[in-house]
Amino acid sequence: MTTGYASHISPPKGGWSPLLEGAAREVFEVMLKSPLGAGDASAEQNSELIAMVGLTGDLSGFVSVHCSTEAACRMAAKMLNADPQAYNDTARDAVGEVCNMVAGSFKSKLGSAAADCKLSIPFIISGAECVMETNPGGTHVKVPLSFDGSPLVVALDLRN
Amino acid sequence: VATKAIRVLIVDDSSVMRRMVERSLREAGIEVGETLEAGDGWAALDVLKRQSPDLILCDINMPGMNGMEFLHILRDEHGSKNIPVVMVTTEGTQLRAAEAQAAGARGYIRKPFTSEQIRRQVLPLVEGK
Repeated sequence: MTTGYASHISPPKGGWSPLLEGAAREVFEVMLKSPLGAGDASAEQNSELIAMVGLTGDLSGFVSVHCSTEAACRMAAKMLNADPQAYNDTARDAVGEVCNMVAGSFKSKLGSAAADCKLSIPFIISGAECVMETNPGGTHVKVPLSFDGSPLVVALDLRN
Repeated sequence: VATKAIRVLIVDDSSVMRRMVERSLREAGIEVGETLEAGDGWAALDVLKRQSPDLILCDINMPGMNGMEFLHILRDEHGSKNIPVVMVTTEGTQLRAAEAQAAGARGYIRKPFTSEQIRRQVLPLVEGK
């Protein structure tokens, strides 16, 4: 177990993005039966919901998923195989659980290098046009994607 | 396939995930007669005071009492120690799986999961119930 607040794993060959994108695609394909498309890099500016899962130990930082409330409702509907209109109340729970699975899948893809990395429970921030300030000097990776026609961003922020 | 409908306790802090797990059990061909739910280990222990499920599916990372703490209490102190427990978690490392197995878990399923993975791990535990 490492101590302090810095990340102790070097980025894999090819960088963090392919691992993060692979983790997100796996979650949406397996659990939502809805493959992700390519996205628009400006999507984060319009996010209404941000779900985050903290990383501690060998990696220090967090994985986040940014989307609209409407996209989160559709995630809940896909996860529950139901009508999106009926699932406003579970949208936050759904996007939190999606983020939780993306973080877990990302960690798994790092293999034994991340054996001492622990995940927090997910937490959600909501509001009009949520924008997250990133840690200066840290690593910030943003993967713009598209879910069911709506913009969706998966991001990784690490303390160096 | 199980000879009768089973009673299952699903322990997860996400209500969406509890319902997904239940649906995956049904899609896996496992007949679920009654589903009991709990949001963490404390709530699960409370359910077990009143009900006796045939199977427990349990997350690890939860607020309150987490899944590993629940598993230890269940195995060490509790009257329900013989109920099979399968962990269903984002913690997908082999180390975590080995820890859960050593603590008495009978199965370990990493999220995201398929119905086939559920079937493979759960069916042997409920056949003949």
